[in-house]
Amino acid sequence: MGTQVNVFIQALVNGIMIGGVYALIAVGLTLIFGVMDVVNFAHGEFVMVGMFTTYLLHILLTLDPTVSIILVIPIMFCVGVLIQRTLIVRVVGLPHESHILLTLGISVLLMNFTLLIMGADPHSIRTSYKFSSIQIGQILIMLPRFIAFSVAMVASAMLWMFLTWTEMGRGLRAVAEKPEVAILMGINPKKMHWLAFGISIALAGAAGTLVTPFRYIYPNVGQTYCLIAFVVVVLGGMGNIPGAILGAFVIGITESLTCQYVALDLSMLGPYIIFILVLLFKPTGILGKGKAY
Amino acid sequence: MATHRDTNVNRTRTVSLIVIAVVVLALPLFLSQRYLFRILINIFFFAALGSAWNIIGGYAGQLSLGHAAFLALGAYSTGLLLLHYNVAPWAGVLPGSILAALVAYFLGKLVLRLRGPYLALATLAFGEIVRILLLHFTNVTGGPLGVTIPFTGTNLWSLQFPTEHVNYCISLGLLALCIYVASRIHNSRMGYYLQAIKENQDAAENLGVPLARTKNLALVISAVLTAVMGGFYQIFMTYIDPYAVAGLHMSIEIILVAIIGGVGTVWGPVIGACILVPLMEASNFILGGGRAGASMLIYAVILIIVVLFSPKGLITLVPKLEGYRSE
Amino acid sequence: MTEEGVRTNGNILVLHDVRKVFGGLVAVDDVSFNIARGEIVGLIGPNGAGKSTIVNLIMGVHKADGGTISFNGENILNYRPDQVVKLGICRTFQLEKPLLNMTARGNVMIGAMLHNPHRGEAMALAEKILERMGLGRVSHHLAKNLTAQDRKRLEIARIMATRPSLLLLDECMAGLTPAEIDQTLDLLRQFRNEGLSMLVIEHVMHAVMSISDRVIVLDNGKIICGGSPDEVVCDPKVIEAYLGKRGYSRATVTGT
Repeated sequence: MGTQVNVFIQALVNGIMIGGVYALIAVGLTLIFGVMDVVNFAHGEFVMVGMFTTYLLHILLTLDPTVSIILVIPIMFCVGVLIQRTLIVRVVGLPHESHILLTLGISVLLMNFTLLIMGADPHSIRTSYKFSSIQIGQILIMLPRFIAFSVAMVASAMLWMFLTWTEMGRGLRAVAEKPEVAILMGINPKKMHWLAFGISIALAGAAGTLVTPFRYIYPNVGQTYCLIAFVVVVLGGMGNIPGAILGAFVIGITESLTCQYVALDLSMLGPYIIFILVLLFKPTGILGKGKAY
Repeated sequence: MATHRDTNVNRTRTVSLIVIAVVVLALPLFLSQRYLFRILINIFFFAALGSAWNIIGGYAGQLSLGHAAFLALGAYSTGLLLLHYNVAPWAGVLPGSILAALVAYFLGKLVLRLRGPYLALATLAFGEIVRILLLHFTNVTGGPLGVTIPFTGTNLWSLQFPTEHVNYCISLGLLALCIYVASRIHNSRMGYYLQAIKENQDAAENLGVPLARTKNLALVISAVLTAVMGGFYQIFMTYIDPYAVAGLHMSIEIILVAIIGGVGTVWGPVIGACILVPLMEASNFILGGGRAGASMLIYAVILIIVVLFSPKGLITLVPKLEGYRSE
Repeated sequence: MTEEGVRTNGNILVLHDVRKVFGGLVAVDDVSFNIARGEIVGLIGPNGAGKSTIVNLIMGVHKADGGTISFNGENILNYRPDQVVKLGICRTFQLEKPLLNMTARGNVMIGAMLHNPHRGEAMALAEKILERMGLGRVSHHLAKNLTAQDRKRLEIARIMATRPSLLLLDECMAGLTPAEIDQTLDLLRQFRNEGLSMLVIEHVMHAVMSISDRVIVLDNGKIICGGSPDEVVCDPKVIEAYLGKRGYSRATVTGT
């Protein structure tokens, strides 16, 4: 009887750990939607790019992945700004089909570019702490996952502080909530757009970095993260940051429980079913803001 | 109220179509290289798939990103029936189509009321769910190993031939079927209603267009045609690979063909396939032995260029073929 | 009043105790009124009174929270918009919604195809209607390239193609010049002569007063007054609703 409970709690804890990372990815996605009403189908690919960047930094500079996050964040920020100012900016304001197709194109581009350069074989990074763990009672928390969770939470907190207390952050929120008023107040929406996109991609890349100690690195890995991010964002409400964080934990836990109690290879079914239920009954999300109809 | 100009355009168009048809039909007599046949068959195959997708994705603007699921349903149904029960594809296509129709019907009821990105995401999730399930139930579907139809010599029953000539005709016939259906819909009330839905659903509804029913019907027809193509998939590949046939990759290739060629037109997907398939072969050739990723990379670049600069597709460069709806 | 009684006494539309609540706000508060066959009823009231909500309820865009809506004796409460259109009720939008990438003729054909599914017939009918509305010369132009005035006309042309017997006109004169307003009023009179009934929602007071047989005044979701245009315009409750209490007293003092 005790083991049943332990198994459940273990799955719960695993879910929370990975949920933290999902939060980082989803927050970026929802930020882009909130600020410029663009749906970024390439978001998962940026996680993948973050992973490969980390891998390369590890190979070339023997940097520990978690440390290399210091480099990955600015690199990914620049990548994000570049893509926003060359490509995304051309479809802001156009109907959603254009966003979907453009970002889908970017997604395929990134995936296959990486495939061409790095090949299809999965890579992995060995760290000294890869197999270490923390033990609380009967529950085992793998150290890399715990570190990922913690750093992700710190990053989320920093983002929150940025959005609430800095002028730029408030500018972002202004553009997200009332763009016409923001312009009147002298905020430049175009600048906010690339800022938001840059931050968002930086977060996605950072999430990629954080999972490299315990996940395989290969070009297609982005697709699942993309879908997870979307499920989370829809669950939490498009454009709703607290919703994204909350949703991330819900989905992380759901995935973990499905993995434990149904089957490993069916673990995504749980999140997808929640996704469909949300779309059916409350498409604006649990904490809602989007308009699905 | 056709004007003189309209009649002339119609006549030119019909004549050019007949000429092209004759050339295409006579081609097998002059070709013997298997490789060339494969390219043409691929073109027909993707043109047909693009046409089928176009009915819901292009005409109605409802971007379905999970269409590969229908292809897989058709391929697996037909393939498994052939493998285990020796049911000829001609008959085996039927259960697959019915299955696809039912799935499309219920999917439509669930998701077609969603708009824009929500719809795209829902169809994406649907495609993934089908793929996951196909990979999971190994004893039925063969799991990651897929389904292989062993070649047992020339067999009209199971459509196995030593040369490609008959395959060529079959794939051409299937393309003709898809184009026929697409064109009939395009010129009918349903086609007009679908376009109205694409332009503005609220306005359409207030002109009497039954939104749910029209969209649903388009999805079901599209799904059935796609499943039929799936049923004959094993003409082209004797091996049904779940990653190839049900993956996101395939869904994207299908919509690429329609979008690049000319979304919302009858001949757009054909043009799209004529551009994309040879491009893929060429890139494989140049970069030596199918360097993975090269062709999709080029597709992605083309897609981005088309979306940014020519969103109606490359068919707009050939105005005579484009808006022939003379209204 | 029984259903039969309703049908035989010549009312094309009957609203009875219709109610709609949004969140905590009562937008339409037990509203009842009739429109007789061939009648033009004006619906006026300050902004936010609930006029457009009533149109949306009749058309089935919103689900009513209570009451009945009868069209030709048939209870159409909670029918879908396309079903309502098929029965013969049409509406215009305050902000036009043209099908931008279709031609003017294509736009009208969509409406025409409701009862004429064949392309050739629908095309002919569309051309006829466009001629009549003065849009014959632009029938091949894409809707997105039309002038504002032509767009407003196109809006009406489209819905006429669905062969309605009742029109719900939601501020169709907004932004028109006096000459255009007169043209539109003439058009509406022609429609009425052909047997159409209409519900006209307007802020352009002289227009709605000159064309309506009867006027209903709505304020805060409730009908506060109804009668002939002359009666309504002098009713103190109406003046108060539009101008507020102080405006009313000033109006009576100056005799306006």
